[in-house]
Amino acid sequence: MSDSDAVYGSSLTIDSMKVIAESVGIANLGDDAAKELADDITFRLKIIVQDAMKFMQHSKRQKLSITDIDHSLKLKNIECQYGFVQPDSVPFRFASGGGRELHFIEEKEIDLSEILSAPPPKVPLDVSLRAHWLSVDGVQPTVPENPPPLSKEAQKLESVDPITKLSKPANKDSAGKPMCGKAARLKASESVNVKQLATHELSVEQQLYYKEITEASLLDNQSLFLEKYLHELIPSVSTCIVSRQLCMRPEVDNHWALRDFAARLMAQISLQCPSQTNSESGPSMVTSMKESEKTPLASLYGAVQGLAELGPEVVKCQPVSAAGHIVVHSSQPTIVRSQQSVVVTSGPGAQQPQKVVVVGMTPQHQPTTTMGAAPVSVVAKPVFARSSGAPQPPPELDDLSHLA
Amino acid sequence: MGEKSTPLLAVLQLLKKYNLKGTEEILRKEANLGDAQFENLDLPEVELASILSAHHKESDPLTYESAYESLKKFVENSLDVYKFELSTLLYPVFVHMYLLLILYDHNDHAEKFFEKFSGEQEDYYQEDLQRLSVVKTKDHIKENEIAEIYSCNKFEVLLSRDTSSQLKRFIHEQKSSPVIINIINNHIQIDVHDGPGRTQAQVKATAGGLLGEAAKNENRAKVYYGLLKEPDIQVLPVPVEDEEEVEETPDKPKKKKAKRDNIFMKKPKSDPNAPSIDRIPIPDLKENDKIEKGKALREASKRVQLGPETLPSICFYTLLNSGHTALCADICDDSTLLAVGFSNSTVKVWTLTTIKLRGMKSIDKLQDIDKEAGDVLVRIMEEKDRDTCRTLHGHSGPVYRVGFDPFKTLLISCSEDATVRLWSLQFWTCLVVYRGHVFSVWDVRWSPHGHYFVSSGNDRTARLWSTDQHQPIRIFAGHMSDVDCVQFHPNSNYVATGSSDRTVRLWDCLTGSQVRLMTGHKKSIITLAFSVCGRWIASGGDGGEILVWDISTGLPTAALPLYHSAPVTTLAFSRDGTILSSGSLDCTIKLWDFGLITDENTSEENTTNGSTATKEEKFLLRSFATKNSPLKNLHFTRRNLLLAVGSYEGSS
Repeated sequence: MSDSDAVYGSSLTIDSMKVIAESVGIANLGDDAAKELADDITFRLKIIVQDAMKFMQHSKRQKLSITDIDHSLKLKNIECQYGFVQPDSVPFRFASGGGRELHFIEEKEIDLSEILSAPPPKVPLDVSLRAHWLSVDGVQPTVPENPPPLSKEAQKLESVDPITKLSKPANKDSAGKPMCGKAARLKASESVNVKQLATHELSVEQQLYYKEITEASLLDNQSLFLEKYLHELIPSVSTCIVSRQLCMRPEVDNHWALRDFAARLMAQISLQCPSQTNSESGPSMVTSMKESEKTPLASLYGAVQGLAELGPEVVKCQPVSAAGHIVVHSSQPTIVRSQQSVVVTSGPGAQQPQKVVVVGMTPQHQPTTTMGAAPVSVVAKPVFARSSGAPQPPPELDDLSHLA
Repeated sequence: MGEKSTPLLAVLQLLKKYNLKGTEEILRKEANLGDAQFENLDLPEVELASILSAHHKESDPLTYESAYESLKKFVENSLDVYKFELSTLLYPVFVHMYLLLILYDHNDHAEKFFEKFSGEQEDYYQEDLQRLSVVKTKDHIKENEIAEIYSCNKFEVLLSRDTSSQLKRFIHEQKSSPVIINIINNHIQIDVHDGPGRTQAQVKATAGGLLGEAAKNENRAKVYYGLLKEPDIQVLPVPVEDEEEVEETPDKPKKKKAKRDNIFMKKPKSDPNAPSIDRIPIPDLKENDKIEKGKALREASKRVQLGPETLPSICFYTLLNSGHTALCADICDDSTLLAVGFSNSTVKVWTLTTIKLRGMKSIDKLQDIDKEAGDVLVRIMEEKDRDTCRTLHGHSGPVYRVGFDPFKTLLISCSEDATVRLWSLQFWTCLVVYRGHVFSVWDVRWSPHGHYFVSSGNDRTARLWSTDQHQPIRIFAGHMSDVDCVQFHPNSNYVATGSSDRTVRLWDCLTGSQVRLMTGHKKSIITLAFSVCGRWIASGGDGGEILVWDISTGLPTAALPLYHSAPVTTLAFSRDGTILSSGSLDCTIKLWDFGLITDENTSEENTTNGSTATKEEKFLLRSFATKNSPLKNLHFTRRNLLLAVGSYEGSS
């Protein structure tokens, strides 16, 4: 038993005893005394913790808490330790120096006057009761109060390795699930051929709009493993961004808003499923950009907007051959291209403020390298001002080297 | 004390015991012993005997290791018929060798010995070994709970006749090393049974107790597990002439049973296993209780028949904003009230229906009420509606269990403050504080007929109380560790207890004696439930295991497959006894086919291992996960709807 040592043998060290003795003003604690103390304290601490486990068990918890220790002390007729509160995790800090290693809990100095002057903390919410159906005739309704039928991990496993589903037909949770009532009816209905749905007369814009709404709400579903369905989502979203024509009267209707929305949606998807989206969504927009002379303004606008939303990362992994900047700008919806940048302005919408997107690209001096590694600075304004710089990593807090 | 040898001190203790003062004095003088040192060594009798009988050889630390190894070799090399029974010897021998080494001050050898052999002991002993490993010097033995238990009690080992003669032969061959002989003589109780040597599965089924298995004579006593005759209650609202019910006065003539056309009275009239109705005095039903019972019967007639094909619907009550503060919950028999005990010493009662919780009128208003009025019970209540939730203050420690009495007028609760409190659900105040337990009270349960309740606690006892006496009327002592859970038998004649010593015991309320000792659990037992028919008892353990026991034999009927990954906190039988539901800290409710579980018992002898395994798979009907809400309580309504209570612990 390799871990028996760790399980049975852990005890306080003589060094710890000496450090603790020093902290209460006993400078030279003998080795023998320290050993005796360490053994005895280890014994007593372990007994206290073992008793505290009983209180944890009866409190129906699986995590030992400070109150358990208090109750265990009370059992031994020892006054409990006041003033300890329990944060979710106890952050032990580590410091070494002078040949000693030390683990400690950092205690911050608290300004009392600050606490006194601060507004009183919110009163915790009172316990309340709420009822819902966990199961109706042996079938669990899919309501928000119930957990998702399949965990995210299970969905992922299923999508990555569908064989697992076949090899384990009797899922532990649904073992022996009776084929009765609703379940049986559901099963029966599965075998019935589904009639082709009639096509409804909806304008393209309306159809797209509904699609967007459903997709946006799909994104909000915390328990859905979305990556499995990306290949169905991405094309339609991209269509909304770079499609040549999205509505009957592009001069009047505000299809620009749809493009903006779709671009933001794409960015959101890529945030949630970072592994695949960038490589999937980038191409269509970059293609539009590359052939910017040929693409109509609307597509180009969408492409630029999409790239702006996705940020500089996406351009990094896409071959950008267009060197230099393209400028698109106009009071009319036009594109002004230059060697330095592309400026796209949304059309002559009378009421809306003009949207101007400026995309700047650092010129590439090695046209032979297809992988443009140079960062693309994307400036969108005035509506879409966003920083293109990578977020700064938070300052390192755990640096305790100065203590050494 | 270190240089004074233990045997010498043991001799002194013996001299003192027999009051041989002169000899004692001479010995003290000769050995230069002071008085104080003697006081330190307060060995239990058994320990004393073992030291005196064998100190000359046993004090050599090196013989222990080889002796244990030779025993191990003997067990491994014996035939399968003997092997598995013999293997149960290894653990107690190991433990006592360790304790002896420490007793003789060979602390380093003890540690080495422990490290070498502790890992190969059975998994279910590892927790005990961890607690034992704390013991490092002989002073610790007295202070450590588990070491004390082992040195004061004998470990029970059950061997077949042939196996025990094998063991005898081995011991004879081992004349040179008396260590094992002495341990077996002093600390192990070998019980010989007449059957053939048991198989590995058989041995494993009952192994795991803190002190080994139940002795073969332990479970001989007859247990009347049948149900009491139901009092004959008219389903009509006005009950007429039902003197037939539970009656302690013998002079009342037993009347002819009224026509028993009700389907719920189909209990065979003379169940040979049922105790007589007056074995335990049960108070008469009050007028109000009869109405309540009548209601229950009417409800029961609308009950849904459950089975593997028709699973119950589950209504889940989530306690929001409770975090880890809600510890226990109970739902009253007619499923209208919910009580929850909190770690902040309060008890809260919710109404689950639209009827609000009302208190009684103030005293001066009560005086105006006509006591003869038919609806006096309604008149005494406040007129205006009150809250849907009321809080009861009184305890001074976490409340570990709450329970409604069968008639919905009283509530009982127990707490870490060592008290049990009785609350009135009409005055909404505490009526009685029952003191008696020394430390925390872990569990308290009502008798199904009311009036009595039983509590259990950290002081290793369970106590039987009646509501009208402030002292316990029975104390059930015998468990080796905390009594974690109790449960009344449906006929109120017996009480079952489950403990951290991994045994379930059944106690007779009449005599106060232990009538069943059931071993086989591998971890401490957290919850118990009697089947509706009274013959079976289900127990849920800390490791998520659920065992079903047959009370008539005291043997485990089935160990349900280990599907729960966390402690099982609550068990409940459906009202028709076909479904066993279990709730756990792993946030799942599982429904088990109890008909199949007990059915297997009859055909177990014929089935091979392979087919029982598949059968066990079929026990589980369905599992329902909750949204991160560990289960506190499960309750079947009279119509067989399953109510579950859990507290939401946030998304993580």
